[in-house]
Amino acid sequence: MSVTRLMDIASRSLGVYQRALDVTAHNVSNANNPDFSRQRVIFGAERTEVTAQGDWGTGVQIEDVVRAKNELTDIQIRTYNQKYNDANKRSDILGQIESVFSEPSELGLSNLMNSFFNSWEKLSVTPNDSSLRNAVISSAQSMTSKIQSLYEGMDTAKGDIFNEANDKVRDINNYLVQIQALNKQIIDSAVNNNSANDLKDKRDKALDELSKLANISVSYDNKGGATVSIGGVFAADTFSYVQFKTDIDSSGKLSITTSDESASPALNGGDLYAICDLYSKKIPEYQSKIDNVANAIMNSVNAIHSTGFTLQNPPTTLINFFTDYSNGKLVINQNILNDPKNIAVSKNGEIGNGDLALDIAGIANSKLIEGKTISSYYSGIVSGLGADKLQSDNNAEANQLVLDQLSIQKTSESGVSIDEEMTNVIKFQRSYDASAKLIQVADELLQTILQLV
Amino acid sequence: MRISDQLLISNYLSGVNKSKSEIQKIQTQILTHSKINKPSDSPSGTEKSLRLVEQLNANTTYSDNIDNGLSFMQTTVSTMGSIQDEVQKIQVALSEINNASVTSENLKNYADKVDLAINSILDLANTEYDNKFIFGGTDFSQAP
Repeated sequence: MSVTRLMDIASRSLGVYQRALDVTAHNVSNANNPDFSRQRVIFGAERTEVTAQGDWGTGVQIEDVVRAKNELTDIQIRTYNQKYNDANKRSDILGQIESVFSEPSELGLSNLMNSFFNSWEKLSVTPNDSSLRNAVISSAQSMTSKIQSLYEGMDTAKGDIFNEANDKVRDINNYLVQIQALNKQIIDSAVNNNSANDLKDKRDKALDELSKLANISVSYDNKGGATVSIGGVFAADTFSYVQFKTDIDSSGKLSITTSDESASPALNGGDLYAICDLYSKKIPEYQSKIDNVANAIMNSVNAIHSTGFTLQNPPTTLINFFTDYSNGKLVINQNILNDPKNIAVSKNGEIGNGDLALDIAGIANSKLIEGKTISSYYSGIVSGLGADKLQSDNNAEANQLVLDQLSIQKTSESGVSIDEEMTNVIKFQRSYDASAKLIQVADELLQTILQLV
Repeated sequence: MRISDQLLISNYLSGVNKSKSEIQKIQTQILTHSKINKPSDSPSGTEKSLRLVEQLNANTTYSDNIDNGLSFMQTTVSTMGSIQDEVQKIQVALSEINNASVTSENLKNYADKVDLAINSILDLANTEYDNKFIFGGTDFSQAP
């Protein structure tokens, strides 16, 4: 029951409020850091001193500095990150493929196929007109080069997204290394009774970024270490981490595996899922449909053309208009390119007979692929692609809305409010002032006692 | 609900972004004068538009060909008319020879007349339309 007790309590609270002001300053200065969670000082009463005169309070202490954080929101954000990034990446890549088709426009394959068949129809009127024959050849050339550019455009897209997959996998590996290191640091600080708030923020950030790339699940052990798995395959914890790599199997499917190829994650979300799925399924599907179109054109035109007679003297027959189709390359017979007279549209060898040209033009109306005409099959491909893209767009938008809502929840819980912090500054400053005043009072009390002597 | 400064800013930005992307969409429509610029703007609309454009092209070619055929036929008809005229001239000349008192002088005159008519019939038989001999049969590259 001495004056020094007052001094003790007051000087302890000076330290506590200084620390509280530090935390506030830390919050204010991180107000614009989106990954930062605001920190709160938890005050608690110092251990009471039990004496013969009764219980004596000994002032305040800082029990903990905690992050204002809602773990549930974080988990939901990661779930929707996976969905949103999957849909968004799909929409990006499909947009790229969409632009390769350049439909609907004059430059699209649809229009070029029309001109091809129309040029035959025109030729049927004046079959021995060399300018019309050249028109057939040039329209065939623009059509074949468009088919080729479609095919190659999709190959390029595949190459691009393969590179992107490699980049993303490298990112994943970096994050896993980072998470393992952070786990270690966080557990080390826990041993020293530190809550390691800023390290946890960093780890959360890494987990968020990881969830944009692939479907991950996270669990925490009792020491605060996070265990991450990607697509059901263990990826990182406090003690170790796994590295991944991309893999293309013999059938051309893209997937990711651990670097020792012992396990491959089952992807169902994030950028990588969109990339792998489009690379392995969607793009080859579009390409094989383009193959169908090109093969149908080649076979049906050849079937009629080979029965016809050329303008040569004497007329020759059994000539194919297209010689070969593979991997987007529809090849026009070189003899025809050299001499348009080799186009065979005469049914009976008579010069001036153009019946077969009309038959070839009629291919445009015959149902050759899956019960559809070539051009309606083709427009089916285009609208299918459009529908895929639209669906991804809508998915992305819907998930974006949820993410927006979740991030509002997150910032509402964890974001720094400058007003609130400034109020705290005033509060803590007042307490600091008061504590200082108490020291002064204690001093004066001491003086008074001293003067008594 | 607790409102943080981040929240206000991100809310504002996402709102602005949304409006801007709408503006961008509408501007593209204005600039290109068409509502469908990519298949994903309207998948079913794209399919329909491709089909209609295809039909339109086919019909244009078809009607071009019909026009072509019509002009060809018109040329043929008028040439036939001219041939008929010439044949009539010969007929008239022949009937005059039959009736009138014919001298050798006269006869030569008539012969010239008939000759002239036959020559013009031959010329008419070689009438070309668009570089095609209209009476040339299927191989209209050769003069009949």
